[in-house]
Amino acid sequence: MRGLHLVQGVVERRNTLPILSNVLVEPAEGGIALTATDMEVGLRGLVPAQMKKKGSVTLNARKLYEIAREVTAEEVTLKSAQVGWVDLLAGRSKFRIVSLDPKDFPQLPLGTATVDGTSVRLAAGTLREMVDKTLFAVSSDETRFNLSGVFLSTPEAGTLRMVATDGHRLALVDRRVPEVKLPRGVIMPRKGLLEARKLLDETGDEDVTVVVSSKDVRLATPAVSFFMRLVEGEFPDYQQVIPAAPRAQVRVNRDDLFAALRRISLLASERSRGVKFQLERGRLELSASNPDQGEASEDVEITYAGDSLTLGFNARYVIDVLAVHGEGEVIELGFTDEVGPALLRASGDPDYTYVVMPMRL
Amino acid sequence: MKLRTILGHERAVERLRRAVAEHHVPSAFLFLGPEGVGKRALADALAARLLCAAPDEDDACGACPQCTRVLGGTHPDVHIVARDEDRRDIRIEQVRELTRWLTLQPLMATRKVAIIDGAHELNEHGQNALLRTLEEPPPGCHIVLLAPAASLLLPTVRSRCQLLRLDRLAPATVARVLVARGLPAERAQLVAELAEGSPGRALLLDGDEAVQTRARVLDALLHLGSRSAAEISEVAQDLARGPLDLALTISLAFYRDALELALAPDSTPPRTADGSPAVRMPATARLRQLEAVCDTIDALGQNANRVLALETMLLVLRNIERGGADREDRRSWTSRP
Repeated sequence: MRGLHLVQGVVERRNTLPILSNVLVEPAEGGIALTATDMEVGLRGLVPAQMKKKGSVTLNARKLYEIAREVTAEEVTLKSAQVGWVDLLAGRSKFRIVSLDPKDFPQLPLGTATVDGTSVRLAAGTLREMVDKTLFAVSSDETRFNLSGVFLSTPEAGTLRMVATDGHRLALVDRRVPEVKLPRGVIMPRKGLLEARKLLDETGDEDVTVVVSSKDVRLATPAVSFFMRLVEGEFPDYQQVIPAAPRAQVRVNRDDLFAALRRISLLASERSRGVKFQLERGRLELSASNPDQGEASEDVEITYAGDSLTLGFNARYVIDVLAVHGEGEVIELGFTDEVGPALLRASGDPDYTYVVMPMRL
Repeated sequence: MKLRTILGHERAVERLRRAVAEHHVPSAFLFLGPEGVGKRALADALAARLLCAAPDEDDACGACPQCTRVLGGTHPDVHIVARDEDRRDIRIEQVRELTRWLTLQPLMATRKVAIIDGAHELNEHGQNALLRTLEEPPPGCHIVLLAPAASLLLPTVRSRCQLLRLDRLAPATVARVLVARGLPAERAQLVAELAEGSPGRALLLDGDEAVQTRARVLDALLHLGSRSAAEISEVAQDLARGPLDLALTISLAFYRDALELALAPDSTPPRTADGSPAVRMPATARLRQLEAVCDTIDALGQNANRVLALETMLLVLRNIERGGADREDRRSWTSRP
């Protein structure tokens, strides 16, 4: 049931190829393997089962899932009756379902055996966190395909890095993963990551094996293996937008800033979502105004000893990143000037860098 | 289908083989040719050739895992865009989907092939959405557009593609294609004559339903002159229940033959031998009848009511047959705002 639920998510919905609405059921070590794909991502789950006679079938994933959900029997029996049909027996219920030829099912890069890939093991939680801290910053502009995913690389051996940007903001997270070294960085598409993220949710605290090759990224646990195709293209040189030494340093409580910003942004203009940040000694005034609806302002207590400075930011961009930071964190903000990029880090997580461009208000 | 097994279209096949051999396959191809002439078969064969793991003599091997999947339609690095049956054009989401797919790395092969089957069914927005991709496709991508005529595409799309024209096939070649598809030689010969050089159309004309429709349409058209309006209404309802496209295609062929007969009375018996119009009529009248069928096809393309459109058409055809005036009848259906 769980296996079916997992593969359900990745079957083709658009129905371009009938075989892709099906799940491939085939013999595997200790049971059967259920495989589904939409050619962009694919997933294989192992389910304990007894094989009386070896054979593969493909069955409509949705129907199989619906049946599995409704039948009360603990066990179901699948029997390939005649070519093109499969009998499913569960307690007193009998189903006869159409089966398509398993030979038409695409060959997928699943499992950890690989010719040209780099394999690394890490905790599912680490991977989950890295994805959460970057995926939201991925560009939604479809024409800039090299920004339409998260860039995975190893700036030095032992450091795994994910970077995402949409040209207005950038999220970069580094994590120590012993001995990891990729020959070159790869771009993982948003859709593939969303599916991977769902899988990681189910994985709990297990370790996952990640295999990175030039064409795909695979994830594998003992029970499940997953792949996503990669985006073609060069990720832009992102290093240059990260300010090395910001002039104005501000420390602020994450919860205070998060809550205040959410309140004030209610009256920011719908289109630009612009909120004014006015820095004074020990005090940050957030304000927003919208000619149609009114205005709002709020003071937030900060640690700051520099000159006063006024900048505008898209509230959404700042809220997004504060949302993934833990409650009670101390946030360090670094500003260069009114037009230069601003830096945002949590003091508890120096390896997570966020850069956001100010806007004119 | 391999390039070598494509029947007819020798020049086109040769050009493709040479392009692949010399590594000069353009990133955007536009195959032009009448409906059913073999554009898709050629595009599939080209895809197999491009993705084949072990090509021999400038052709796909047809046996490697790449080939079998391309030919089986399940290759992950081949993307087909076609109009959904219940739609009037290819949705813009399908174009966006294609654009995104093109940015992904190939999965099994070293390159990717996208085929837009019916590029003329992209509306203006769809075609515009494709422009950027046609101009600068991601590396290792080939896009093949298929359309009946270049004039059905925006000039901006046309100019970004290399054109390849597929001509109508000789009836004998059509028959060979049909025989290769398992049709008995005699039947293949008959439908090939009707198919206007297009094996696809020939296949449409074959089959039990088509044979029945054909009999019904010919019966209706042959006896038009003697039918009352009420009878015509019945005939229209009957035909509208069946495959209407086919009925209209057969009507077109019928009047085209009739026109041919009118223009050259001494010529060999028309191709629709079993249903040639009994009455001899002047060519201008036949031309007007042809026009009436074309107008109906147009009207149906614009969502006219099937029964009413067909009924009007049959009435117009009858009036011409009887030598009466038809203009008023027709205007109600075909005049556009």
